[in-house]
Amino acid sequence: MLIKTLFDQAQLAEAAYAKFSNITDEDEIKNNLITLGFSKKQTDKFTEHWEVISHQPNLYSGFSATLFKNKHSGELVFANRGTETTFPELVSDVIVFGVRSLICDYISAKIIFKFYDKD
Amino acid sequence: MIGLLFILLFWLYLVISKTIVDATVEWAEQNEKNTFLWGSLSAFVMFNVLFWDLIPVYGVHGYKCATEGGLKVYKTIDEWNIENPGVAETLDPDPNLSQQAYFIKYKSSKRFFLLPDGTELVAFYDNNGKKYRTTSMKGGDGTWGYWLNQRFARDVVDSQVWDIVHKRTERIIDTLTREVQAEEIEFYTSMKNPIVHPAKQWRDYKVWLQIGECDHDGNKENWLVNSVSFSGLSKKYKYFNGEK
Repeated sequence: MLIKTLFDQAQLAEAAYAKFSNITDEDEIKNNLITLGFSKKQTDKFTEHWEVISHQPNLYSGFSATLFKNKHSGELVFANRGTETTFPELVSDVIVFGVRSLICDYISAKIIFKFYDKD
Repeated sequence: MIGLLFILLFWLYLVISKTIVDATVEWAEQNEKNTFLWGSLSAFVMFNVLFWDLIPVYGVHGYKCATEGGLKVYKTIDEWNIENPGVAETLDPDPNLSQQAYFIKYKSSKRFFLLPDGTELVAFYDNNGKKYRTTSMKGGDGTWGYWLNQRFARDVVDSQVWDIVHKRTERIIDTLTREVQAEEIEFYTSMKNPIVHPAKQWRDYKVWLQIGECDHDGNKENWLVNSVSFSGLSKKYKYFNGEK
């Protein structure tokens, strides 16, 4: 695997942790990434190549994911957020973790793709 | 995966803590001391070994969000339009079309400009420079933000409140009169993901201290004015004459 691909995937995995409050406003997307820990330069570079197509904010089950699109190649990347690490979420993830959350996550993942229908 | 690792570590910590508390209670029993008091005391100590800063950080963050956090609109777009007739129609977010922004250079999909007051602008475009996207702004005094158009800017100021709790103030400013149109105050902690941002001290591994923002969903009335968020408002100022 190319180092560039690994770098892109690592950045997308990290960006999936952002809370995109308004995906139609690029200034806001940049702010959300900076809050997450991206540097300003990194944010500029990232948004130069990737746009946010759809974002599912936190659900009760602790699920959140973002659909990114490469502006140059049109490639779509579905990035699942991992465990949220704020204290209440960490506790809730431990408690809710189980079959029910897995089912919820599967349904939510299907919903997020509805926002981007190629046909 | 980091979540699973932390769950494992939490269990380990819980087992060790329970063993120590049990041993303390047993010792108190053998020495005819108050077992409840000694048990509670050892549990309190064990909790604070790892979580001493949990309650203060969440407390300060929650208090600041409740008392200062939120969106304030000082002047509506309609009020501004009445005070500045005919100006809105001339506003465009692309600095390339602005007479006040002096073009310096271009680099791939970026164009660099300079404003008369020394503020640097970097405009970003898509489709080989055909579609305008956004403009970052950097003032000579270290301020930063986004250039919305010839009359408005969205500036961002970060400051430390206490320990790792930080305040972010975003304002929409009329750059001609320096009047603040709207302001949003947000609080967050500077704790980052230790896997992505290498930890410099052991405290950086306390991922549970990460707080990205105040609770917007639970206090919508604080964060929305006429059902519009700060971001939505900023977009309205940016695209006064509609998005191209």
